[in-house]
Amino acid sequence: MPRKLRPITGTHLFQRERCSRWVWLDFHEDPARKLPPDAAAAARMAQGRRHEREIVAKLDVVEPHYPANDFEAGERATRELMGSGAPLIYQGVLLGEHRVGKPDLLRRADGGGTPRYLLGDIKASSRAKLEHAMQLAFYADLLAASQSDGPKTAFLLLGDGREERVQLDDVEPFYREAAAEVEAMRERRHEPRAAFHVHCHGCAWRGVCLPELEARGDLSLVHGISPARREALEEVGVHNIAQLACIEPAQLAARTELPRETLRRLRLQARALLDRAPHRLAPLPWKAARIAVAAEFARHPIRGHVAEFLAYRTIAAGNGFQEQWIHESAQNPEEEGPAYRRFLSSLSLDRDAPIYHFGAELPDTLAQLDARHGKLNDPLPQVFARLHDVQVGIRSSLVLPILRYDLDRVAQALLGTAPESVEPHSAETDDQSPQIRRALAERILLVRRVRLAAARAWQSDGAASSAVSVSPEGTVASAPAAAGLQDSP
Amino acid sequence: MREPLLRYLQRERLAERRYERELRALSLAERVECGEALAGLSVVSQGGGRITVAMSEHSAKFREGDVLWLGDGVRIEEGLPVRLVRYDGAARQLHLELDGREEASPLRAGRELVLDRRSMDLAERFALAVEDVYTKTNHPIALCLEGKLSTDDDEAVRREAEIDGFRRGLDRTQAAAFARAFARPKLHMIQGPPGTGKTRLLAEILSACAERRERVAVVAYTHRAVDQVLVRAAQRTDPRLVWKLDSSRSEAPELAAAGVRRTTSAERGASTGPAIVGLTTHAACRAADRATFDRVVFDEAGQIPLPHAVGAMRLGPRWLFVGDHAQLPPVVAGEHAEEWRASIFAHLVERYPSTMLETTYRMNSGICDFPSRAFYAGNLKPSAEASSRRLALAPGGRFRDVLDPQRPAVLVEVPHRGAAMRSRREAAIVAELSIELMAHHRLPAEELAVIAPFRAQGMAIREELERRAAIRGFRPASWPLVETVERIQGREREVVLISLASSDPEWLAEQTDFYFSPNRLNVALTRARTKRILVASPLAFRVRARTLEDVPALSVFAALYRETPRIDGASVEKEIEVDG
Repeated sequence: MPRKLRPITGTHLFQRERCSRWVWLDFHEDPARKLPPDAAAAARMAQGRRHEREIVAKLDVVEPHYPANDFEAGERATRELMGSGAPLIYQGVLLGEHRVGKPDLLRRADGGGTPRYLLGDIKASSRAKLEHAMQLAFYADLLAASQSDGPKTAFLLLGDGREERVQLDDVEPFYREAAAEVEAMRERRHEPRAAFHVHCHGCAWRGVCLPELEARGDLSLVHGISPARREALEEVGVHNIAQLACIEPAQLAARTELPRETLRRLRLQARALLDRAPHRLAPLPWKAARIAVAAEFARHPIRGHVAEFLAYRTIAAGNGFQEQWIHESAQNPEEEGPAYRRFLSSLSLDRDAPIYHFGAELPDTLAQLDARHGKLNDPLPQVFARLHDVQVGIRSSLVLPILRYDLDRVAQALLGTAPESVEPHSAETDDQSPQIRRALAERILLVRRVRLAAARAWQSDGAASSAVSVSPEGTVASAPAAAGLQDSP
Repeated sequence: MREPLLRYLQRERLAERRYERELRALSLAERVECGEALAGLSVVSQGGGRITVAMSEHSAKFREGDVLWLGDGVRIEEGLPVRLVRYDGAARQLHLELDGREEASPLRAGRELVLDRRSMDLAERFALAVEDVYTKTNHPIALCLEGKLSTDDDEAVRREAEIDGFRRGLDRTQAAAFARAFARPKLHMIQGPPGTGKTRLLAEILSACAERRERVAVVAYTHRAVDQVLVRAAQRTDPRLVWKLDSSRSEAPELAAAGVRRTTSAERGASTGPAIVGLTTHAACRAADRATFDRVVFDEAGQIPLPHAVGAMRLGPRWLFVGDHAQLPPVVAGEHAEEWRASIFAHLVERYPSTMLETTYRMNSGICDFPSRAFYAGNLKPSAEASSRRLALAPGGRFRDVLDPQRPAVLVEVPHRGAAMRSRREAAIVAELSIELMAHHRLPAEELAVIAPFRAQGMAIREELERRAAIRGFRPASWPLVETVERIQGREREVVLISLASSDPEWLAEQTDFYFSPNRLNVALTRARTKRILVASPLAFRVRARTLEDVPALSVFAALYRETPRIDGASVEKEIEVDG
């Protein structure tokens, strides 16, 4: 007996911004094949739920009461509350044809006459994202059926306590395109292809997609191959990783719009997967220094401000090194500025020591902190000049047999360690500082180990251990990597 | 505001130094590749503090006014400190002058030379100016920046000046702007969208100032912008009143031809009688310690950083800012919060009423329509004469669909994928269209321009132009301008082709600030008078925003795609193939 097709919800519009295939699978795949969220996703969801509870507890809301999953009854109850002019409705139900929306908040917009409502959602994130706006546009579309016209603005209550307005007119063209695609997917008029990307490892459908991609050695598994590049390569007969590993970059550059150097790099990446070993590209960009610092920040999971500032300073001494931890913390947003300034001052004491980090988050956060709290004669420019992104350095110097260059996978390739499991922040405790600090310290130490391992890998033949491998037939699997660092042709 | 202004200057200086250090760490080939060096130069002439060098191609990012090192490309700072005065594209020569030195030893003939970027540390001068303003309580400049000045018109003055404006042949909004320049007690801003006669209006204002026996300083960011205003001013008033404050030794033939004299003295003409003195923001900051004027007029104020304007504002008590914050903003090297990256013009229009010139004399209706709605709330309209202008074509020829004069703006859709900064397919189409316009339709190369977002695409287009012209036996006397947006602001052509180059939405999503900047798009779309041909992959318009901040800019691009008539690029390619 065919399964009843699910209605379209705000979640579909949200997820479509991340992965269209998720939306397709949610409509048409057996839900029993969904996997539980991984630890990081579970932690984020718990944080989101807790944030929402905290916010709602401070608001004077009413909720529609209806039997579980009886959304028609839910809509009737919601409309009664709206008709009676309830100021703030939590988890109201809006229906359309094959569509169900449950905005977190319906807030009466006072203007006299028939009550009109604005839509809002509560988000743990401290930044308003397009996915959030898509959900709100979806709810606005449903609400337009009952108001003479849909609301032009909506609002988000964000993780750092701010309310941000969303201009729905701005996102309208994008919403219409997204809604049409979701509709087409639901009706099987459009089936998007699976492709590997950053969200895959936490996705509920990873048990469906990843084995398919791995079985055929899909090109999207190769770091640096976007959907457009995948199609460009397929147009010229390159369909999987094994074939990519055998291309002639000069010939293919003449037949595609991909530059020869890009194709060379992609071929190397494919070969690294095939050979189960790293390849050298260019010397590592950082030099040995007597004093080195590794630094990271962590945000408060609920309040969104930068709560922990941590750096690990090592000084070469004899055959070993001395170490020192530099730490500042901010329990609440008001303490963020002073903590930032003290941390900056500590970092600036070693004028020439490189400061290592992994990924763009640290410099981006520094720029945000400067915008909020910066003063004249801050040593920030000096600190900026000393930053070295270990992720960028490794990507410019080594091609590793991994699918993505995040810290866990780079560590796996260079150190042979399995990805660290993230212990979810407890949703019930208020003071999460010790947990956050410990996780941060572990990350900093891992970044340092990865950096040193990259330097050794560049210099010697003893190299990676665990990695992803690709068989000659093109199938991908995790396997112990062979030793041997290979020079790039 | 003192602290953010000083912090901006400090950060800019440090960013420039850091950038210079990073450049020095690159090899010559790498510096040339990224456009920060020009190699293979040979001396053509040297003397009187001036040096002319020949080059094969100006592929660097250098612009007129930039300060550079001329040397061997290895011991960079042992080279000669020079300033780039003029780029002669036809002769493939660069005219330089020594900077801070009178003479140099003769450069050996036959020696290959390299030009490298040199940083100019002027931050301290600007910082002193900021301190000067903020050490005084309620300094008028501080009040101006904080939005506290009155902008009430003197109605009698305004009416009389408006009549004067009409008498001078100004149109309605030009006359209104002219009137407010005199009716507002201290401050006015005039927004001049593309082709609205801003320079002409400025010349009339300066002429009127001279008639009122005012001493006026005209300030702009570059020498070229200053010179343009002074030449026009000299055509409208007694040239003997017009001066350029300039310590350069280079000839300035346009100024000389207009009768504008040059002086190294800031006090020139400021003691008695009217005078119009042009100077760059850098020179103005220095001059403000020694000279005062009745009025300070800023041109291209949309490109003057806020702290740089503060220095020049000290030249006088009344300020007129002319610019357009919908076109290119200031070039900023460092990390700053958004509000401090703004120009003086953008800063002030948020705080005070301004006048926008609403009639463009450049673009026909088909070219003007989209930019007007997207960037000027529909308020920019072509004049009657400009509106009906159409590209004149010879009978016959290829690509009639694309070149159709009755469709002034078209998009040639080229179905390529995966390209980042360069598309050979687009370069080929642009080259063939250009050759057809020049060879068959006799469009002078000087009336044609090609705009590309990346230097790599510009180079690919130039290569294709030369290669395909050679195949067709076409030898033009000169080549059309092929430039990035930054180097084309202020210019116009009968026909403009725009090659967007990219077709990788995921890659483009990382470039939104640059690639999808509404200001850059505005400049690109408003250079043409009668025909604008966009050549692009549909994938360039299918980028998903990552943040809500990106949505407005991406919306404009999406609207451009929807509203521009599209032509199948594959059919254009077929026409090229069939033609051999």
